[in-house]
Amino acid sequence: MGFPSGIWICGEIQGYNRNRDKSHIFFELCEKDPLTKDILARIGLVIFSGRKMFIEQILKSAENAFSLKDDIEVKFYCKVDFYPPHGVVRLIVENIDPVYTLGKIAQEKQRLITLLRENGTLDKNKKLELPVVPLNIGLITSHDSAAYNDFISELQLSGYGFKVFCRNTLMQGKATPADVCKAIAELSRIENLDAIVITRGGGSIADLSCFDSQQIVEKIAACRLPVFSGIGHEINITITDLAAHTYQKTPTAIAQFLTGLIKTFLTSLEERVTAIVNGAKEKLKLENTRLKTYAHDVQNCTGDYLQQHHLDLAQRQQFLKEGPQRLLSNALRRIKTGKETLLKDVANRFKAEDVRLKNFFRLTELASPLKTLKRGFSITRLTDGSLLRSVKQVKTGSALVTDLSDGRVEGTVNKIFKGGRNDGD
Amino acid sequence: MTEIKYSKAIKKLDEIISRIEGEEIDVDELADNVKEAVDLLKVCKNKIEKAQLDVKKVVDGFTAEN
Repeated sequence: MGFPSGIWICGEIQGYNRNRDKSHIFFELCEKDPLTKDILARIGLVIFSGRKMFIEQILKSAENAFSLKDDIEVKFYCKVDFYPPHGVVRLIVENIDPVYTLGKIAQEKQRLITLLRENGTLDKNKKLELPVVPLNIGLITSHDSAAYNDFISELQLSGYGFKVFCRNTLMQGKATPADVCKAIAELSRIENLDAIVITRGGGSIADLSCFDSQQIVEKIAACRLPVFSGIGHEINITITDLAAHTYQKTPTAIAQFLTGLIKTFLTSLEERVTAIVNGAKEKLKLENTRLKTYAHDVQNCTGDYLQQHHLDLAQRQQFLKEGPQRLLSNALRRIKTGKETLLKDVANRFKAEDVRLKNFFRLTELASPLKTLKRGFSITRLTDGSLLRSVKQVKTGSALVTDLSDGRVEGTVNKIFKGGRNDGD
Repeated sequence: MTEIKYSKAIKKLDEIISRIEGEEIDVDELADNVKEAVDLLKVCKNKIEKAQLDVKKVVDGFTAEN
């Protein structure tokens, strides 16, 4: 035959899972088109029961142990066997290179991470706002698994009123991504749910590889609720973990994260209450001080006001001391002034009367006929005593009496001349 | 008899003062008027002192309470 020694062959396992309880495992390796996923080549393999233990041992001792199953890429060392009765060429598995599978898984995972990171899918759920008090939790895990019990008991331990809606979900195997997606969809429909938790216990890389699913990641990105995950492993973080809002390594850790949120909220609540109380106290103290200041201001102002009145009163008091006295002394002065005026007036009056009398005497003196007679004038009367003023009063022969200053002369009219006075006579 | 108000007392006092100042008061009535003025002065003074004391009492009471 043309294949005296063994060959290394790589490919994706197909038809392995149906062999579960059989001693010899017959399956296939195939090569797929990287884009279309169409099968390009296929060949049958067998692991004989005698070799199975050896292969399993190698896988177990490998770092990040995995087990053989469908859809994983493997590299086997095989002997080529031709079975003439069936005319079939079959490869008999002798050895396995686990590093190849792990590398493949890691490579595929890295490619997916890069793609999902670049298109923003990984960050979408992280942008959702965390509920302040996430007490209503949708739980995606296998019911009654260790993960479920760890998660629930940790929540119970906290004593907070968590309400958990558990959706029993496949947590390993090929059907996991679809079931997880369905579970996310179902839980999202529950009203008042605060967050969804996806958790399971740790496992091999191959066990967890179903969580490196683009399908799950896209579902998480589209989910309206924050998704918390606790799937991963000390070393292996699944892409589901990367896409989650928050991830923790174990179910217990994710439960602690939730109780931590509640605790933080309660603490902040207490702090706020304290802050409010302190703020109020501070404010009251401040207002109290202000009121006291106001009270003192009131006292000072009224003090000033009353003081002013005091001063006004003092002015009036001062006036009352002096005003009436002034009034009386003014009255006295007026009396004195009156007396003086009176005396002066009387004196003036006497003086004036005196002058008047003197003038009068002089006038009467001037007018006296006696004085005129002395100056040489005489008064001539008729016999009846009437004054002779006109020639018309007498005729020739009329008797006349003439008074002189020192006596009287009696005579008769001898001749009458009419007209003006004749100085020549 | 109700107690006379401060403002009324001051008004009356001022009236008397201005009449004394203007010498409109009969000398016969001067002494009576001055006596009335002094009485009013006393009333006003007492009122101010009482108000001062009351204000102090109220403010002290308030600040002691708080």
